[in-house]
Amino acid sequence: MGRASDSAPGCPDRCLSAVRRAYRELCERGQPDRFAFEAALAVYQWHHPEVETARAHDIVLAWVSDGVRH
Amino acid sequence: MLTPDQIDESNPTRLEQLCVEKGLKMTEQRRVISRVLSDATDHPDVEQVYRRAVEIDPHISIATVYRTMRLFEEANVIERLDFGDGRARFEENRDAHHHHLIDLHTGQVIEFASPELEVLKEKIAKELGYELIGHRLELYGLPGRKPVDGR
Repeated sequence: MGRASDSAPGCPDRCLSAVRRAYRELCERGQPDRFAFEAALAVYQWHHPEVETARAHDIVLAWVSDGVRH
Repeated sequence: MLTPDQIDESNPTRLEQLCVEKGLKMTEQRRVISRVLSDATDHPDVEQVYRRAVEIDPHISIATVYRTMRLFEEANVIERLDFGDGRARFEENRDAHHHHLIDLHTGQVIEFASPELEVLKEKIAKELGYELIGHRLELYGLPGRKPVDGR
């Protein structure tokens, strides 16, 4: 499969793009932020099942927050 | 800009038709509000709907708009959306009751609707002794695993 070996945790690769896209597209469809975030987290965890959930949470939070300037 | 007189009652919008199907009495003011919602290309909140409705019919009050929006929402002809900005926004329910499939490779979000699923979820809730009020479902998938030639 090689999915987990595509990148190291947190690296800006295909995973980053997929995570941000899922989050952005769900937000654009009016989904609550929490739902969009949880979906983005699920995408991340598929790419990086080796990363523990708390760490994955932090990484995804940083990635999606970086894409949304307040 | 439309005026109430210019709203063609013989040519109702889909939202108006939905309201009628749901048994709602379509007063002139409800018709104006439903037109505003049907014409919206954004996701207006109640105050935005009010401002647009008043341009068509200056006699509409904000209270009427609130009541009507609530009525429409309860009848499931409009959907309340949450953009995380603390304001409830609305769009016509294009029946668009749909779910999302998320492509794990790319993050692409694909909307889909499934009448079978709608029936099934109601059935499950009923069998468990509940009236279904809401649900949440996301599918996650990988491309290239669809059956070929319908098999």
